[in-house]
Amino acid sequence: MHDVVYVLVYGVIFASLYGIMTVGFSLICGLGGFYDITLPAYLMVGAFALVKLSPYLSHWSVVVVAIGMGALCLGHYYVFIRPQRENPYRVFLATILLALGVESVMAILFTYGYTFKLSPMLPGSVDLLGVAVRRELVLGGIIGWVALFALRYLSAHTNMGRAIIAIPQSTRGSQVVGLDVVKIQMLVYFMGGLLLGIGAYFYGGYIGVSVHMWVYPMIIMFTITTLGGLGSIKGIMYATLLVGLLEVGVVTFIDPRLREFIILGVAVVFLIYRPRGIAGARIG
Amino acid sequence: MSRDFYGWIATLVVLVAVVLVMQGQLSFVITASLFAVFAMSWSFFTSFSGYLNLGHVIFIGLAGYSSAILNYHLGWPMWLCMVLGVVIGTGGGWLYLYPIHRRITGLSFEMVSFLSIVALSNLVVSGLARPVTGGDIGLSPLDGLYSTMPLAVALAVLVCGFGFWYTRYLKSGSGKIVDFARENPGIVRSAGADPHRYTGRLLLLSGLLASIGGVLYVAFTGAAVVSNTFALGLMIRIVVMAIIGGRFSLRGSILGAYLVVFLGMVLMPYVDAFVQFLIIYAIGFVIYFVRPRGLVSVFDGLLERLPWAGRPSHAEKGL
Repeated sequence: MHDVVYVLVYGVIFASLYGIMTVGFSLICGLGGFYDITLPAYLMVGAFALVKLSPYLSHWSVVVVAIGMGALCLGHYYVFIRPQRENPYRVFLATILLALGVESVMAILFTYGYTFKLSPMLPGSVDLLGVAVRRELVLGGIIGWVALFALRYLSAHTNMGRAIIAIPQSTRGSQVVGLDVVKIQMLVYFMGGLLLGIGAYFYGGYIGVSVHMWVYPMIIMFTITTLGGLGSIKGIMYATLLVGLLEVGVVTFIDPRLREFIILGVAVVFLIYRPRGIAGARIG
Repeated sequence: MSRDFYGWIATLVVLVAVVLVMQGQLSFVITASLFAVFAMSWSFFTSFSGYLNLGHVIFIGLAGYSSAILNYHLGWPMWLCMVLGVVIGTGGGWLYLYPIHRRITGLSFEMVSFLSIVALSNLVVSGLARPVTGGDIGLSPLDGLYSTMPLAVALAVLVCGFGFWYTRYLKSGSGKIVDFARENPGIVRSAGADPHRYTGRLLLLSGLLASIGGVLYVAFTGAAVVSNTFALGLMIRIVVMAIIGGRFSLRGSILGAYLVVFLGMVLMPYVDAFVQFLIIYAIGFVIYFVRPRGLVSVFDGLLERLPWAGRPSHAEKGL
């Protein structure tokens, strides 16, 4: 019974962390109809920036890094994505090369194979339903779910939010009614960068900061996007919960190293039998 | 004899000349030839079917690991293990990728094939598979191959032999159907043919060469580890080689493989592996935008201007 409670508690917390890391990626995929593989690599860049800045700026480093990540993603969009956004294959291949390039730069700048630790904002742990959870993770979980619900509210009650939801359903139609797709993509890249910065702190703080840390989030981002459906924040919320619980369940009851295989397997099954995901547009 | 035949004979002469000139660095020449095998087999499926297959190392990994497992655990002779490895690699990789390519199209296929590598490499090193695969350490030592002149020449023959076969296949009836299917699968379907059947054959032929390369690479390095089989880095290097040389051309992929391996050889004394990777990725990135058809397009352009040169075939021009 304790194991089941453990899976539920950690599953919900991880779901929120994955949610804030993925929401930008998923909205970008929905808006542009392409996969930008560089975003998970930028998560690693954010985490390394936190390693460097946190001794000087303490907790403010998270704010600085989040804004910096927003600016980085915006610049990335402007320089690399915007000129070729009409060709999803080109974006896909180019961003893979860019992501590997970013990994190589980080491996040169920081010791390869070494895992850095981020000092926690909130030391210690709390007891949740008989399960000891680090305060830091609880904070991350709360921030994550608040961010997801806030985005859900904004997407339903503001024109910009409605535009973000409308564009994946029909880009041409959205342009016809006067929506500026490039402007909205830029906004989403900035917002996605901000959330990646916050995600980098909590995720990096939990697993440690290393050169390889971006690969697993890439699988998570893809799976959540596939399960949730492109451009659907409601879908992301359901999918993130499903993935969080599945991941902790696999790690607890089966084998930690099989988690990628099982999570990807779920994504493949969804792609085959329900390509539009839980609540979104059809992919591909 | 056809123009293609003489073209591949000329390519073979160039590759053998490289072997003769670089006798002191045969290990680099052999590595370059093995990467040429990988890049050409990847390019063959990806460029001509229209599917960007980023799970190509599944063939290499399955074949390499199968041969290593049979040799390491059962002590069977290496040649037999290599033959069985090719069968398992080709069959297993095809059985994994073919249904996915049938059911999932577009970018999702690329993403699934790409992430499959990550998942499989984790599976290989998992505690579950460790007794068989050796986990992170892998399987070593194996009864390997040595850097010898006959091996280098045999690899050049293998590359050119498959290059010629691939070119002939692309010009056959099946190849033409694949051509149509890439441009418009609906036309092929309306003619009563299943386009996936033909792209599936292309995948099988591509996987066959990749599996042969996989068993040879494992035997040559004397170890089966994730880094020389299922690694994401290996896949990206193959893609970068094809991009640099010309991913829409079989000879372009060979050129790219040789250039990247020799560039690594030149840089090795001066910079560490990550700087090498960074330089190679940067070159690939620049070429991808500046010259999307790769460096081979420079030679193609020059050859077409020769007075005696005929118009290149569709398969040679690629997409």
